[in-house]
Amino acid sequence: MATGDEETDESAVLAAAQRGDRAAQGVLFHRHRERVARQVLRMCGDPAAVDDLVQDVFIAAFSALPRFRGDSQLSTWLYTIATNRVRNYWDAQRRRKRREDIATSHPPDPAETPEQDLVTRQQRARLYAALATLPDKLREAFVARAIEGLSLVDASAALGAPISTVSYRTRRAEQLLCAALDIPWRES
Amino acid sequence: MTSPFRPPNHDEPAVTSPELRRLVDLARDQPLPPLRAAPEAVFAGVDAARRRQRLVLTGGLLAAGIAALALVRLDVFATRTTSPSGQVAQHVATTADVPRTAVPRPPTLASQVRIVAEGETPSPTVLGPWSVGLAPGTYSVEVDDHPGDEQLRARSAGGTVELHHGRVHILVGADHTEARLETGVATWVAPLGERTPLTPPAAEPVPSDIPAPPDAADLARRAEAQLTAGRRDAAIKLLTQLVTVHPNHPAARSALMDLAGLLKSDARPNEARCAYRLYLSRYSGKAQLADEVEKALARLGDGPACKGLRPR
Repeated sequence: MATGDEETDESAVLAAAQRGDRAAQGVLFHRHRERVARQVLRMCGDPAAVDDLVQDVFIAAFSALPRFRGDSQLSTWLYTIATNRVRNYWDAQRRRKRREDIATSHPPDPAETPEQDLVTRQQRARLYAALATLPDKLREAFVARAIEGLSLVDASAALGAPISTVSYRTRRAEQLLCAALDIPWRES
Repeated sequence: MTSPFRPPNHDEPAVTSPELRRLVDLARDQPLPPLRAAPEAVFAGVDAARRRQRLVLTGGLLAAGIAALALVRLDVFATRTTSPSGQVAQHVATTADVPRTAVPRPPTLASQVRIVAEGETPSPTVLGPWSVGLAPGTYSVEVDDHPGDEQLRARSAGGTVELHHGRVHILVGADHTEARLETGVATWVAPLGERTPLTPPAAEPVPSDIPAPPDAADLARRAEAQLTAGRRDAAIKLLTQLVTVHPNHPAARSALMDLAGLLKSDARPNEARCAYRLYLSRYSGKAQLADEVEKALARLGDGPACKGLRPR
């Protein structure tokens, strides 16, 4: 929870950044960079894609900053921009995967990354492979709620969807993920 | 298994399955890689975007001024430059008959584009052959079907309409824009870049006088370009054409998989199911991807029967 001073500071920095003050924009960049990076990593699961996506998110955000009216928190606004950018990334990945699958049916050789914790990596990769089969809207809801840990209210604001819709999409996503991963699923 | 709609409980857990929870925790705890993105690179990107925007705006203003100048000159050369079709402004901008001036030639709309500003609505500002700026008012915009990837971008304060072909009706307010697609393929792009395909009220009739279909490689290339640009609806149309017109082409197989995936992610399960079924019927002897297709079909569940790519 932010203190009163922090909130004042945040709004002063934001106002300066909206006027085009590069120092203030730099402050916002450093303040929100890690959060955005974590979000895009959790959404795409690919560490190699994080830097480019983070950069794209902030270019879009700073270009549109004068139009940010403060109807939501800056972090929520950034979340929405990042979601749109990752959606484009998902599209590109799907197309690439189709071509690779047709070119070769061999899965990636896990021995290529011996320095990593193999089991953890494989399980994580399994989850992201299953996530990749979901429709985008279900995938976004599940990542926001389950992996990002957003509350229903925050996820609703970030995704621009009603709370009941986010709730439904998250449950439906879990149901489909369990089926894809051969995990038993029972509605609570 | 079903997941019926029910009122949400604000405290409901996001994940109920313990096994899935474990995988989710692994994803949540994935360490961030060292971040190399720096503010300087971001600022350079912002500056580049602004330069592009400024060029477009400057071009628009210049175009308006030069168009006015050209219209004045048109009076002098009217006998030589009036076209039979009556498209005077376009003719002035493209004809070699207009005397050369020191100022650059204004951008003119592509010949496939027609825009009607209704009532008191000011004329659109031509920003380029495929780009216009719209002031508040009502516009009827039409783009002829054409073989290229070009799309008309109609920009307004409330967002942008991208129209590949067809007709769209656009109502522009001070900070809000509404677009209604009557026919064709178009996408709505919100100010922050979110893209939403516009759908016409009813299926388009297939024109009977279609020229010879483009070859499969060309369709595949154009579909890829549309996908790269995020125009999924246009890509779906091209992929559909590829797999129906050129079913035996080597590119048709991956195109059919792409098409099924796009339809599924666009929440069009009946059409996606038909695409997957068509894939299995065409490529039943091929082991690759068959498992994936079967799984995708299982996830989509039962649905109406299909006739080719269309649900009955």
